[in-house]
Amino acid sequence: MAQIEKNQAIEAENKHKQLDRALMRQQGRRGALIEVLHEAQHIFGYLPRDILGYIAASLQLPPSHVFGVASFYPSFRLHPPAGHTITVCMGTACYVNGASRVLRAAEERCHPRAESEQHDRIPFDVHAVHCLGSCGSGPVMQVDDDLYLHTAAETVESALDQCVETVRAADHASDGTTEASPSGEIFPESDTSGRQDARNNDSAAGETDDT
Amino acid sequence: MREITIQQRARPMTLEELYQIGRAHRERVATFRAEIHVCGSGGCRSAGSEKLLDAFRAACEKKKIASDVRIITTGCMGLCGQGPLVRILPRETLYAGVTPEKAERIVSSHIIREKPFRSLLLDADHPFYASQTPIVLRHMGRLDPESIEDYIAHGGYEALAKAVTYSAPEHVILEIRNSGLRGRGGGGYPTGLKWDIVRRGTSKSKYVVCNADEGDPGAFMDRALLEGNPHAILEGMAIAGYAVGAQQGYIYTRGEYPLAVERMRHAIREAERLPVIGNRIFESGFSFQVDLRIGAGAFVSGEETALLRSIEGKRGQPQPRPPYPSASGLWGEPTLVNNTETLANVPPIVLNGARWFSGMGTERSRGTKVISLAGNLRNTGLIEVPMGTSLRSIIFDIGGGVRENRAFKAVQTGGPSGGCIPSQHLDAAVDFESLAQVGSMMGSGGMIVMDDTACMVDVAAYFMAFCRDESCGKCIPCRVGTVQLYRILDRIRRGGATLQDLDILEELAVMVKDTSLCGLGRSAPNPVISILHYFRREFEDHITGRRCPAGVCLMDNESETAATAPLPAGTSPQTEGSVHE
Amino acid sequence: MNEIRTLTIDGQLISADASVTILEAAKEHNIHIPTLCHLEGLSDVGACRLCLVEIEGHNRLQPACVTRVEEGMVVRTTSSRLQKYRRMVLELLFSEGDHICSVCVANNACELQDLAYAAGMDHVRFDYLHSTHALDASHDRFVVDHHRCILCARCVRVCADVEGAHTWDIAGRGHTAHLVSDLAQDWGEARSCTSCGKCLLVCPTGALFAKGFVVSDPQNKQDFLRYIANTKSRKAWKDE
Repeated sequence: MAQIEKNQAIEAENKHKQLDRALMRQQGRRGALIEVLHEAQHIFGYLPRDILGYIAASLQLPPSHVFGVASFYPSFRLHPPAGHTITVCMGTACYVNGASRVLRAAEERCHPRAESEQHDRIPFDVHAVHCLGSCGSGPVMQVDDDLYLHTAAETVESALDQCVETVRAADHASDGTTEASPSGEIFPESDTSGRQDARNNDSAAGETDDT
Repeated sequence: MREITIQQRARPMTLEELYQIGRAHRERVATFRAEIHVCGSGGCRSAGSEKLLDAFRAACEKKKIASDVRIITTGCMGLCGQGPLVRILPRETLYAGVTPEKAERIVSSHIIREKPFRSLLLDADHPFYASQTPIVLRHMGRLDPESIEDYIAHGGYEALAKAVTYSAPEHVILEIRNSGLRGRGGGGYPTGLKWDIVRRGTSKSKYVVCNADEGDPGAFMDRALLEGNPHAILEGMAIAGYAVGAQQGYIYTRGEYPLAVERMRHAIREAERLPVIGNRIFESGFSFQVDLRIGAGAFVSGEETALLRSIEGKRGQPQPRPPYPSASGLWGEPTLVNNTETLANVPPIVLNGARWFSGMGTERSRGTKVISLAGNLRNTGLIEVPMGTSLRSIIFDIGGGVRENRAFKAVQTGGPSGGCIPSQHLDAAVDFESLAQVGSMMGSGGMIVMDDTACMVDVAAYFMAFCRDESCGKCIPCRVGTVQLYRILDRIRRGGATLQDLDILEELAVMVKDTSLCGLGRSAPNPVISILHYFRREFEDHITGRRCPAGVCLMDNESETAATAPLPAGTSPQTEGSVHE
Repeated sequence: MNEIRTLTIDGQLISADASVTILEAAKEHNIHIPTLCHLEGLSDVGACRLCLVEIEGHNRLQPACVTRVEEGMVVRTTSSRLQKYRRMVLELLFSEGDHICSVCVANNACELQDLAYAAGMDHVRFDYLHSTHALDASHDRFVVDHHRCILCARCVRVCADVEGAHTWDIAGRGHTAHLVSDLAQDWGEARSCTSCGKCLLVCPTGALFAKGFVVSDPQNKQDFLRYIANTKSRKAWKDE
């Protein structure tokens, strides 16, 4: 146990060193705050309160200004991420094809409102984004790094069930760490949907169309 | 103030050296037996084009021609809906929907046996490409965006070299003015005029800012340009910098475009290495640095004053204009803010002359427009047409008409700031004035086609939810007005509204439009106003008939779940700021 | 530098220095333009949109607080359209927060209330949004009630520009925007706060008030507002 704590302390120190280097690089550069926040989030995974205070002190900015900026931009996370993320595309083309129903289904599955269903809760953050760039294959949903095309509200349920199984199994295998992605085939082969590797796909912009 | 320290070659490059690099590269490319261009942009990547690159390499390896074939990833080839796209030279042929399994057969057929591979062949005179006029997109999908030599071989940086060597800044501005180029980000302000105002600013430090913060859902022309031809933007910026007297440029783009960011970073490094940007460009007295700034997901940062605040490291909230950025922008200095596509138009104008450019398009809207075509269409993708082309010809000729033979209902232009145009106005021309006349706007060039399965009330609510979530919260009409507009629309959608609500909706929409501080708020009601104008019947059906003609909206008694319930507490702020309805 | 501009405001021919805003020029000639986020002595943000005026030849309404006078300008500060819009702005504000005058410390000393009276706003046509903010009474002497905050940012400006503490700022955005002290801590925890109380004095509503008062202290407030308005050394303060 002591060893784990020690490792954690070392890791925390390394992260702080990285942040210091980032601050050093930005020194004297005008308007560096947003760049520093980007780097800090990259290092820590989100923007912890004390880190914001540290950045404010280092850049000689009022803390409230730093918090105001960090909370203004949606890309900055002020809370630790849940470990796994479901991203539902709400671009116009996906929306017109029923993305809101997909989003609702995912939300209900991950954040059930009824007390009795709490044990069913899936450890995923559900996000909606403006466009995942696959406007021709909507509605599009992304679970961690994997992209699911042609989702429908009806298939989300079963997809999520299988997702959570694989994720839990993977989490279990890697002993509690959250580095995992579902590896099981979620949509049956016969389904029109294609499960695609989207690791390089956060940048996708155009349309895909299976017709 | 110099903001970046870069390692630079002591000596600037000369025009002759530039030509030499281009010549050498062309000669090297000519030694290859064949070229395979794999589209590595947006849609094609999500359709799996990355794997294709390896598949083609393996196929060439197997046929023992690997060293004779040049395989590159290129920018967008246009017809994203049928990706992944692959172009093979010689006997230039475009293949669509290519899978890794087909790679070997394409190689053996096209390159070894010199016969096109028929089943994936895209017709040479495919209607999608037939009526386009590529200016901004002229090199897209044809050159390697990660190679500055390739860009130079295609005539790149010649315009910059000639401008700084042979023309006075005033002449460059005159050329741009005479060309009739207008801002492509949506405003349509004459570019030359803007340059002239910044030029007249007496301050010593001026800035050029490239606005690549493309936020409209469904618009991806800026991303395609950054990913597919980053040097064209750099060159345009440098020419603009020379013309207005700026030494520092900023490119502001979205963090959601990691590939675009990476390509642009690479391009800046290469341009500094040569150097074609840096100190004393092409042995002139003009020095220019470019820095890349990454946004953090706020749509409103695309508004120019908000964008400048964001570059300064502040909350991206708009400020009242005047003063305009051209008088007082970044850190209070005169700043030229131009859209990506506008800047990409600059090098060809400088090379080919104002007359060439103004020969295209209409009387008041010269040149071409890049449009991202999406929605329920047969052919979706990135196109470029002369200004004044009719909506009908874009949607039915280039776009191939509505998918699955359904009826066309409306085309949405201009994103959340634009409007929906119904079928009776399909003959409207795509230019700044004509689109405004039919109650929409050009915007950045996103075009989304909707068929009869779309409910226009629902679409109106969708765009209002977008604007509500993207409002910066500074001025009251936009911050609260969009919330109230959305609530009324949602009430209509759920069958719980009265005709009186419709009156309040109209009144509030006009008020928000007239009184908001910035472009976001002023244009937020546009979709509602245009949809109310053209599709009022649908609103009345929802209110008095309590039914949704398209069958999209669930009326309250039918819906089992609360459609508008907010996200549960404890979700991250990211979700708060995003569209969810 | 002292260039004089001649313009017409509500039919009245006026001459004013080129550096002044329409609002300042109008005030000089006793023409009243309603304002809310504007406070003489502080920098202007043009956010509340109450001071919008019509200018001939401009198709857009312009905020009087940040628009400088120009030669030959013809300005109208009242019209049925402007009246309607001002009333709607107020309705929107009332719908956004929980402005229940009868239980508010600022009752009868509230700029929002005064404006609503003047605009004849007798009811709100929009849904009340019932914000879910908290009331923060962690400070020794002061309280911030976010339900009554209209985000005019006067407190942010007076704290940053006059007091130099910059304890306050606006966090979040759009309909989630709210006032924060330091790193969104409780006010009592905010170390940068000097407890000077200037923010209380500039608050147009009852969002910021002192503990132990059932009604606000209008006299104290008026004195301070006169003080910062008269301190013409605006430039001496950090101009942001």
